Amino acid sequence: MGAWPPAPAGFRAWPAPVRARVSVLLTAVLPPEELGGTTDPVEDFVGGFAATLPPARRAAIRFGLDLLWLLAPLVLLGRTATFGGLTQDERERLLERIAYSKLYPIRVLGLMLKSFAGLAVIGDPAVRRGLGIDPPTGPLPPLGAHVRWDEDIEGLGR
Amino acid sequence: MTEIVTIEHVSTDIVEDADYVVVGSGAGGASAAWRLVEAGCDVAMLEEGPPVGLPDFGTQMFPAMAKMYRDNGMEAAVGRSMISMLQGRVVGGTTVVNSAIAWRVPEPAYERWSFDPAVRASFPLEDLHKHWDVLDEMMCVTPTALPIAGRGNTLPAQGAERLGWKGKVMNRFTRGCLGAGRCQQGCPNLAKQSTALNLIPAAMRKGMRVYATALVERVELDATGRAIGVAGRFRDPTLRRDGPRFRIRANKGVVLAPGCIQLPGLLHASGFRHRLLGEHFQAHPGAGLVPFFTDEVKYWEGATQGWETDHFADEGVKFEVVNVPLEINAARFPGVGRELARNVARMSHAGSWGVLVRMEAEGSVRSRPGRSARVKFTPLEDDMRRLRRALHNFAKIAVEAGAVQVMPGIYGLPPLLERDEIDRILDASLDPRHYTMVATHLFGTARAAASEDAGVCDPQFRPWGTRNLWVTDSSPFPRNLGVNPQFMIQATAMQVAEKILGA
Ligand SMILES: Cc1cc2nc3c(=O)[nH]c(=O)nc-3n(C[C@H](O)[C@H](O)[C@H](O)COP(=O)(O)OP(=O)(O)OC[C@H]3O[C@@H](n4cnc5c(N)ncnc54)[C@H](O)[C@@H]3O)c2cc1C
Ligand code: SF4
Repeated sequence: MGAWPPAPAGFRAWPAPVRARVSVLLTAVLPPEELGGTTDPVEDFVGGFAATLPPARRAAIRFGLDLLWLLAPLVLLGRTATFGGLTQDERERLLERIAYSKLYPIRVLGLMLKSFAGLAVIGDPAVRRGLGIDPPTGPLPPLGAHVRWDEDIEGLGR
Repeated sequence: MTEIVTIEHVSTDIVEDADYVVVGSGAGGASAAWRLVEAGCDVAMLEEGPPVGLPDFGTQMFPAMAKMYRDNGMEAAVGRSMISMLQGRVVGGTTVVNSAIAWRVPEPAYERWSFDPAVRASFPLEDLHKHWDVLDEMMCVTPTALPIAGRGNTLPAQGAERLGWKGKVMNRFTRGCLGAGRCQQGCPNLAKQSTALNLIPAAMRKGMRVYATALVERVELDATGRAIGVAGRFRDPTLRRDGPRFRIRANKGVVLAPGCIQLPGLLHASGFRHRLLGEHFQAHPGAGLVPFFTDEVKYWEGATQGWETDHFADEGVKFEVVNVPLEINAARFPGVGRELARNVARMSHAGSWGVLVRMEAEGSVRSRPGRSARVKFTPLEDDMRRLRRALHNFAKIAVEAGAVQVMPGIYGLPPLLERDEIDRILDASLDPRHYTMVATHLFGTARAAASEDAGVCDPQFRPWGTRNLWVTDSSPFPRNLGVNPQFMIQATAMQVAEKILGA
């Protein structure tokens, strides 16, 4: 069983290289291996996450993340590299400047990154097991599938 | 019992008739619909979200957000700061993902709420209590039992008791709660009594038709302002796939309960105009406090919310245990990278508590059916002062309960305060941008008032100038409440239904 409910066919909104980049960002924010997890589920998460966002929000998030990937190293660390070209120490220094920036919009970006990373990394059943949280009891249905609840509860209600 | 009709069942456009059409299946819509069906009316209910059930209620938060929350749980009210807003969008509305806390509005809060004598006359407290009596039974209001409370709930209870502050075990809409602590992902034990588990199936057994993934785009108003039906289209809100259109004619009337963020957009799209539509938006924004203990707490083991204190109700603040899903809580932990991971690894020693503030600030809402809303809201300085004081008081409870450190979550303060440092909270800035706030109780975007000048709805919750049209969510509420609103929304919805039946 994968870490996430399967996304229906044709459901991925970002191409593989973008997913990989976003996953590098998120795993820098909260490294899964420090919590007993791995990177693969994070990349899977990014696919499903992007696909279920409203289009305008998806575009805005992508734009923000692209800026961060391309420009933040230069602006915040004076380094002429992309985020991917930084060491983990440099990545963390940069992310810390974002998370604790004096500028509120930048801080909000930091909070969003931490939220997405939290969803991706702590959502992984391996990490949850490491933290002592029970794993899911069974596979979830695809995100787009509709489940009949009225059969589940017949007899339970009044 | 008929089946819920979704986009997957329909291949052509639909035109149907009903006595009453109810828009929205959450607290307000389901309560009004149930009462109308009980009186023998033919009701069609339309819900934008999908039906969900046991297989959807996993432990992970992301699939829940993608499927059950409006805008993937990423709505926000924006003003001087950003305040995250949460709403459910499924059959059962927000009651499927809420924490099931049931509050009969206490008299002082009722007095404040019903400051307009005409509104008070329409919704006398004695009548609301009658509806609460019925709902107590239907929705199975039960105090949280100690064996399923978990340490996350019992620790602050002990702390408050040592301070002499009165606390309270929460009353919740649950039948056999096992303390799985996952209310916000949907109850895996079907213990939480969302409207999808009781009022809606009960009404369906008596013939109510339910259309889900059915986005109502407008109410049809004739030239005299009489509501004669609704129109819209089937739409899969997760995959954003459009299906056939529908039109449901309402022979007797239309009841609107799409939630107070969606209501202004729906009325506007229906041609209804009022200068106050979308204004006077109020909320109970809250902020979290994370205490750390030497022993394990494992706050996720136990009722999602089981203990509260309204000891400071006079100040318009309420303290609650709120077991925020771990994925979300992680974002509030200090640091990034490996430091964040180290802090997250301490999660099992943390509690997850929060304060809600009955803010006096008012904002505005601009929305359109099926689109993300624009919500403006900036807390007043006094709102922030009460929030800061409340966080300090909750930190005192934490210290009395034995916490060794407290994470105040306020920018400008150290991320972790030692026990003897909590007074520093009182020196924190009152700038709302320094706090991370969330709002889940939303009110008042079509406020009711005795005159058309002063409000969008009349004291019986009918938009002024319309006929056969009623609103049964929290939009017409004259003010916010200071306590958890579901029960009040339900009771006012049932009162409106009785007025409809008596009309
Ligand atoms: C996480 C969370 C926890 C909470 N915990 C508690 C608690 O413990 N106790 C408490 O009292 N309150 C709680 N609340 C608040 C409470 O759940 C809400 O105030 C209440 O459910 C609002 O009722 P409503 O009928 O106005 O809207 P909802 O319950 O949100 O229902 C509105 C429904 O209308 C549908 N809809 C909207 N627009 C359309 C359209 N155009 N066409 C068709 N359908 C439409 C929506 O999809 C939605 O399902 C909580 C809220 C949240 C988010
Ligand atoms: S605490 Fe757990 S068992 Fe109880 S109602 Fe919530 S999710 Fe269900």
